Amino acid sequence: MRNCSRVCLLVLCAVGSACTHGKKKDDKPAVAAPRVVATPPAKVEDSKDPWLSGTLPASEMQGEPRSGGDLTVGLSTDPPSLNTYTDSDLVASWITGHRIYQSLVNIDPLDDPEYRVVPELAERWEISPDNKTYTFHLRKGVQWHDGQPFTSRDVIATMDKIQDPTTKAVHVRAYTQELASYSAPDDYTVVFVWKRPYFLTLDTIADWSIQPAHVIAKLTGHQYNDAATNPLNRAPVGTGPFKFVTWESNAKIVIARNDKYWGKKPYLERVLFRIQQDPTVMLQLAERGEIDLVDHMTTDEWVHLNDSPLRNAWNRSKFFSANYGFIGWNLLRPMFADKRVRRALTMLIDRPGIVDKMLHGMPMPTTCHFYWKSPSCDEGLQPLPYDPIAGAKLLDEAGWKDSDNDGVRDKAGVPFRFVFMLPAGAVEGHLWAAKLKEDFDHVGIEMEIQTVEWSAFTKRLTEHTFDACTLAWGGGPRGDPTQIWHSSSIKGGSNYISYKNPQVDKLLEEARVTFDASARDAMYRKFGAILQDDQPYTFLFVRPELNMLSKKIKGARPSLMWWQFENMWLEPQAK
Amino acid sequence: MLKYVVRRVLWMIPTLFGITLVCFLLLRMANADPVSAKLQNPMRAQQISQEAIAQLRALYDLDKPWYVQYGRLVQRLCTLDLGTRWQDGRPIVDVIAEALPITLLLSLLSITLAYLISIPLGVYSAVKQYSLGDRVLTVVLFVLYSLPAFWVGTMFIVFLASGNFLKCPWTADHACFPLQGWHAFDGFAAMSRWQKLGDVAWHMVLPVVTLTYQAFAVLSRYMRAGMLETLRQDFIRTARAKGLSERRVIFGHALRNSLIPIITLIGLELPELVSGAVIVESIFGIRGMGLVALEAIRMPDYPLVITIVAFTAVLVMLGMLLSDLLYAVVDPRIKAGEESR
Repeated sequence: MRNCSRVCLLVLCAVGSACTHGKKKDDKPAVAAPRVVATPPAKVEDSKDPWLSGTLPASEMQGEPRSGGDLTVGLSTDPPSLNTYTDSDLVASWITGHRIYQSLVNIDPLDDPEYRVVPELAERWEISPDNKTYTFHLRKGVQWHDGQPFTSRDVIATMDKIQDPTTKAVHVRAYTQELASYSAPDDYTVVFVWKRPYFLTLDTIADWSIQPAHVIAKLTGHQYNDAATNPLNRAPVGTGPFKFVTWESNAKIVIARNDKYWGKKPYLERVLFRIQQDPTVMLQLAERGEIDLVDHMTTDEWVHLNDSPLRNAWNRSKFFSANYGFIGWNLLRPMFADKRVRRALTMLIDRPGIVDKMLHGMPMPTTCHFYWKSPSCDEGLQPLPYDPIAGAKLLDEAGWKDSDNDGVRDKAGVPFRFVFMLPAGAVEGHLWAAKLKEDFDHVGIEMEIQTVEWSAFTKRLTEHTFDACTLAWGGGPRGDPTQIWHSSSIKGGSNYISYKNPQVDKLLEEARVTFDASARDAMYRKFGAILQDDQPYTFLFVRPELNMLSKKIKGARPSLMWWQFENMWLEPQAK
Repeated sequence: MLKYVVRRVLWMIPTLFGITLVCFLLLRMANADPVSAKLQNPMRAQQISQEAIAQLRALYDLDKPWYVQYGRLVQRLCTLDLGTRWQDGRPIVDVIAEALPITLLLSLLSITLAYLISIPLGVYSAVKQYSLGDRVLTVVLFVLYSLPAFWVGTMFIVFLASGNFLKCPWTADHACFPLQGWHAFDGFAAMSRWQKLGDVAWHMVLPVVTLTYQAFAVLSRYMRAGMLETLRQDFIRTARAKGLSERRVIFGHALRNSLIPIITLIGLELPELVSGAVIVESIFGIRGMGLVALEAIRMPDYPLVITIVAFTAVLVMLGMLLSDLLYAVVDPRIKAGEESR
């Protein structure tokens, strides 16, 4: 479980493993998300029973918010540090992002599915007509949790640390390569100048937590990295609605309401994150009322609880976030170079059967690279049907026939044999891969399943030394597919399957500098249609995020940006 | 005697090197990559920069040949410059200082309890040899010995701590024992000293029992054997012939002499005191040395693993030396060193 959630941080996630999160939002350039095409096969009993369907009842949002009380959240991993610049960690970014630390701007977490950019530490901003210069006017009267005033010096100090080549902020620094300069003309103004216009600039800035200059400015890069010299790594000081209280390694992290917060103060007194790696124990703690929110359950746990008496005291939330699983065909291999073969393979895979029979009907089919609810996805784009007969016919057409009668199709002396690479630990993946092998066998395709350790897996991906593999991408509300689909990303990027389509390249380049959202969506929809036709991936499904919340929690709403403790309050419960 | 001790201590140095070297090579052979584990994100790291990986590799000495890496580890160990834990950058000294007392508490309680219970049991079995009580006790102890701790611990949690079977209506959730940890999850720091003591004691019951019950069989068998042998000695017959009460014969003369094997066993328990009990610690979520070591191995965090291994190895060797010396102390007939040469 621990390893698994680690893997999820990769954004790339092993399909079929127990991972459900992949919504790290600072991955814009890398990733995006998909759109449902067919409505998920809603079961009759599901739609009626909120416990089974995982919809939070509307009554949970009603009532008079009450101040006070502690909320305990169960988490499965302890973050390496609470400084997301020294350690790229999903849990750390959940706990600190826009909660302890704040950024110049925020992505409105409750604005589903648009997730528009809203002011945070910057009251307002101006963008120059050439879309290269961004001028931010900072909020006045904001205080750090330790009482110091917040000014533009803090922004500059933070940027200095990101750009300092000796800090461990490499994962953030990559996004600043397009930054030509940054400066602070006065205490409450910051100016960013970019080398090129880019539509995700504000989203990028929303990810940069501003840290206090009075703590970090005097530190060298090495001192900044080291928990012994940088107090922020274990005890963050921010400007947000919650302030850090305590952290006991591998046991708990406590944050409390910031009573001097400049904005709307949270209702909750404290939020306690309880770190519990064992999912069984997590459920026992939930049963005893020692945890109020169980975050990211596995499908098996979810199904297991369908008839549990827990339903009397708990609500469940099933939320399809921005992620999708897929099978990638390495286009460098002769058999996968032909689009007809790839379409045939997709049609040979019984995706509805896999979802229904093997995955408890939980995942949702998709054909889209972006967040499934975003307008960048074309709702009308249906997955290719499961049709083995048509698939076999397509293979014949493409010239893959069994000419030597050995039971395996061949073309020009090359038999249709390939290795399907799976990351170790992808339990569900193994389940359906076995079925895939059998189905392919019936039509004369020989597939060998190979399990590879994660580090070896990623190495083979980047070296393009695999035949076919399965993986998942996760992302935020908006995404730039360049990193995954542009031909320039074959080397050094994430275009592992070596997909090269000049039309797609051109569309993606144009979209990067298109600031009109609807025009950009149109381009991305066109891009989606090309992908559907080319089938370089067999798109599989979107996995739901499964959570369980005590009924005493009110005001909770699932979001791509995790839970908003700022809006939650607790209802006293008669026991 | 002194010469013997010095020689033994000097022998420890090459032994220690051998142990750390084997341990290091085993970790190397596992071929795991702590950098990708640390970055947690080989994919993104790759997109971003190979230089970051190179930096981290250099930081951990992973870019150097194995003998240089090992040499650095030994050097740091010898100068006691232990460095920081890779997982979260905390000083290794702090990490151990946090975990060690918990482990010590757990194992000291368990060892004390084991001795307190198994010595009388052993004496009883020896004095009443082949009686019904002895036979029943033997069977029960061997059954206990055969029950795996992970199963017993899990059963304890399900039946005693879940609140679904054994119910204690006076607690908030009807559960008789806590599920996890060695102290209350919230509010422990605010408790008074006595409340803290009570809270820790309450949390320790199930882990200590789980850790202890298997030791009963071994220790009481040793005790029984030692006692039986002593009871056959001439001086016991003499004592009885003197007309001493059976009570004085057994507790005054026989018990003291038959304690030798048991006492020397204490020396061998020493490493167990600090190495922690991985299974019990993970079942009950007690963050002692066992879990720290386990996490370090998973990474693998070379400096931390080597530190813990070296620490434990030193204690094992000291323990062995101690038990050899104890032999000599308890039994003056054994003259360490002189006889062996």
